Amino acid sequence: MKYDDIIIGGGLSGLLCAISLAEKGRKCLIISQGQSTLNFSSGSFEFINTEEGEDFEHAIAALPSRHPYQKIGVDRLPRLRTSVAGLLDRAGIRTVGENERNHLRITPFGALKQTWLSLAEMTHFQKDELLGRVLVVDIRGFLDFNASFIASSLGQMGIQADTCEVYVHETERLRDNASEFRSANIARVFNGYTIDRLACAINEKATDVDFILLPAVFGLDKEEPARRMLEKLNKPAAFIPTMSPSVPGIRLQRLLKQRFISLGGMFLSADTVCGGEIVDGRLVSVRALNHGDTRFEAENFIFACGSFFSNGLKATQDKIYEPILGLDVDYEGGHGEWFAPDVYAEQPYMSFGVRTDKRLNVSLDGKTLENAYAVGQLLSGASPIKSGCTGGVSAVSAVYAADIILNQQ
Amino acid sequence: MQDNSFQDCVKCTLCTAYCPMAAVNPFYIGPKQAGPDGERYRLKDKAFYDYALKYCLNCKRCESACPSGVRIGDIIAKAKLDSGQFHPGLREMILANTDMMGSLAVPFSPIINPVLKWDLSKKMMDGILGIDHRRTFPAYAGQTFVRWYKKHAGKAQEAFSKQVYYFHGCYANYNYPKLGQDLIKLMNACGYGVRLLEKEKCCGVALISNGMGGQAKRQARVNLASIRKAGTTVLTTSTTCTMTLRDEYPHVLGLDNADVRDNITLALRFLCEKVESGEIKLAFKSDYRKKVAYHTSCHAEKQGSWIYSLPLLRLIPGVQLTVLESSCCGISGTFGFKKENYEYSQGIGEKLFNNIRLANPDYVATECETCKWQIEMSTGFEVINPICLLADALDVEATRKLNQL
Repeated sequence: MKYDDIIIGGGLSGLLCAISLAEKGRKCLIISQGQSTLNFSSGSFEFINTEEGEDFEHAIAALPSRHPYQKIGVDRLPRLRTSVAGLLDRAGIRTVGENERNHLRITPFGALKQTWLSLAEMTHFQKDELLGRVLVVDIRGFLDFNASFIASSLGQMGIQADTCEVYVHETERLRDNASEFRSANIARVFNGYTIDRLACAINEKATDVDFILLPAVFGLDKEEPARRMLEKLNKPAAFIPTMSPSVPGIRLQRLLKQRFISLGGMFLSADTVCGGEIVDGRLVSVRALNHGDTRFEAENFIFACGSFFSNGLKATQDKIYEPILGLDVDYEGGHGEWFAPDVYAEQPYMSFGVRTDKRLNVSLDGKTLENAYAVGQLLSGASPIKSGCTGGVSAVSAVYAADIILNQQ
Repeated sequence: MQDNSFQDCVKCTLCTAYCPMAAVNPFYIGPKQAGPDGERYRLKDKAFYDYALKYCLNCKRCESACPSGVRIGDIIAKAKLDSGQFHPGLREMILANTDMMGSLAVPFSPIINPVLKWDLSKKMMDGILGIDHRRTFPAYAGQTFVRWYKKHAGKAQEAFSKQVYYFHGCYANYNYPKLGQDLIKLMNACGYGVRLLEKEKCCGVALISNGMGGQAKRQARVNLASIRKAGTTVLTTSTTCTMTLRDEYPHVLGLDNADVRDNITLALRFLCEKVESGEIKLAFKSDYRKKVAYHTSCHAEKQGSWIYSLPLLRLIPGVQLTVLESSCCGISGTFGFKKENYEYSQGIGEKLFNNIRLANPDYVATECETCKWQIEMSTGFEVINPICLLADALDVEATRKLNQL
């Protein structure tokens, strides 16, 4: 089977890369091993943590040369960020955020976190925009969102926050199955009429507040239920992500996939790439478990397989490797040195990943594969949690690889 | 055979988020709990969660969603067979024994088909057997595909230098022989003779889901023996039979098929690959014009087999193709026939039915026969296997010429 480009991995980086290519008319196949970590998304994409008032450029300048941003080139990043925002917009994903600096969002633990782009319905504000008096709304019986935790965190920051618990009889019924009373199940209950009734219940309790915070359990398939909820409330309001699975994340995954398919893209959702054929320094085809001896051929291959969680990287006691082809991997030391004893410290293993050159080309036994690229969390050199660059690295590396491929044509 | 993949579960619950049954049935604990979570408990006692297992559709959308490669659907299917709690009743025997029912019904099809449509008989089946009266039964054929083949086609196949085998399945044999006939028309026009296996039994998917593991195993052994004896490509036209033969035999029934698994393949894959490599060529009628909406059945999604169907359908110049968003139709073989499941079944399918109505096609194309029954009954749109669509649009003479016959 012949394609222009084959993308291995169907998460944020795989989809953004594939959509960029498909928008230019290329015939793309995504091979994905199940759902991606996009389904656990906070509904915001980080780019880089900055000092207060600082823009991205300064923080990026301080990153080590092995960081993907440095490899891509600091000068290219503003344009790539604009491209990412455009890709999301054309997929029907409304975001807010500036191209050059962070805004703040509220985490499920009530902390404030810097971020680059947020879905329009999620919390987003600048440091000086105080929320005033806040009501944190919980849904009765829902264990993956802790309103009092959030209220107490906000309280510590000097924001006066109260909590309330609401329900509709449809959510009460879900409680029969308490352990599966999860965000996605709740989101299914909330369509037109149920939203209106819940909004009524909240409005009754939100008489004396300036701002309402709600768990992000609205709009699994489309944004409309989330938007409707906000419209029906009497006070300004926004959503805070819940524990996984993430309703906004599942929607992001679905909208990006739909966009890709509407451009003629092919998305194999449940297969494992299990080997490839290399001829003269080029990867010419890969095979997939469900398809026996079928050769999937393409001009370019993009590895967007994610990190350890997504099985893009595997670890044994003595080595870390890339399981599809055994691509060269950047990692240091023995097993004992991969972890820092303090779980909150910067963890060395998080910066391990597939080795690439400045064009994001991967290599095998030191030899560059000129038509194979790595993007996203598979890349080495970033310390995503520490520096707050997860979404940014995934998004801009994906668009950058697509640009390189398109410029060759 | 102990399947330990449940240990790879990281409890992310994406399987439950993507489970079509959990979406409409608040009483279903969902695939995570019924599958990998339950499996831990079942090591102690097989009865754990067995009340929930009956809700599993075996659609495998949980497996398609799982980021950690846990074979959730297989775990549930096996647990169902092993629990010892599922005692198939008369209804299950009737629904799952497709070979027996087909053999009995085909000779009397002129009587049985209209009777199955009567309100009275539907009410009786509902009351006595628990088969929902709102369900439409697929009609039985006047003669089986096998009988037709032996009478009209078998001999002619010997003339071809290249040969393949065909696992027709129950639907082509008892309900819709045109599917098998169309496959032969296509393959013959491309220069391939089509043979039948020495012995073919129902793949056993309905036996597995109705708790009849012993019989499923016996039938599987017959099929595997015949497939081994064939020693070459065995084509199929149903995604579910294909998945059962290739994946359920080893994963659920514990029968090793590694030596022949790759020989078993959907005819659409075989054709698509040969067309892409230029080995065979297809020519289509210039006046064939149809608006087609392609539905990815759950088992096509799981196996990724739709990637072969779409390029073939796009080859037909007069076909205007829309690809529907992949979602479950809700029938899940015998599941939707059962009275207690009817509402769930229709609730699951609603999203798909709406998308079909929006697309407003001449045909819905899909490789799954039970999806066909469900969609035709629920939307009124005609559903066609891509093989039949290709055969209808095929210019046989031009194709024969292109393939130098």
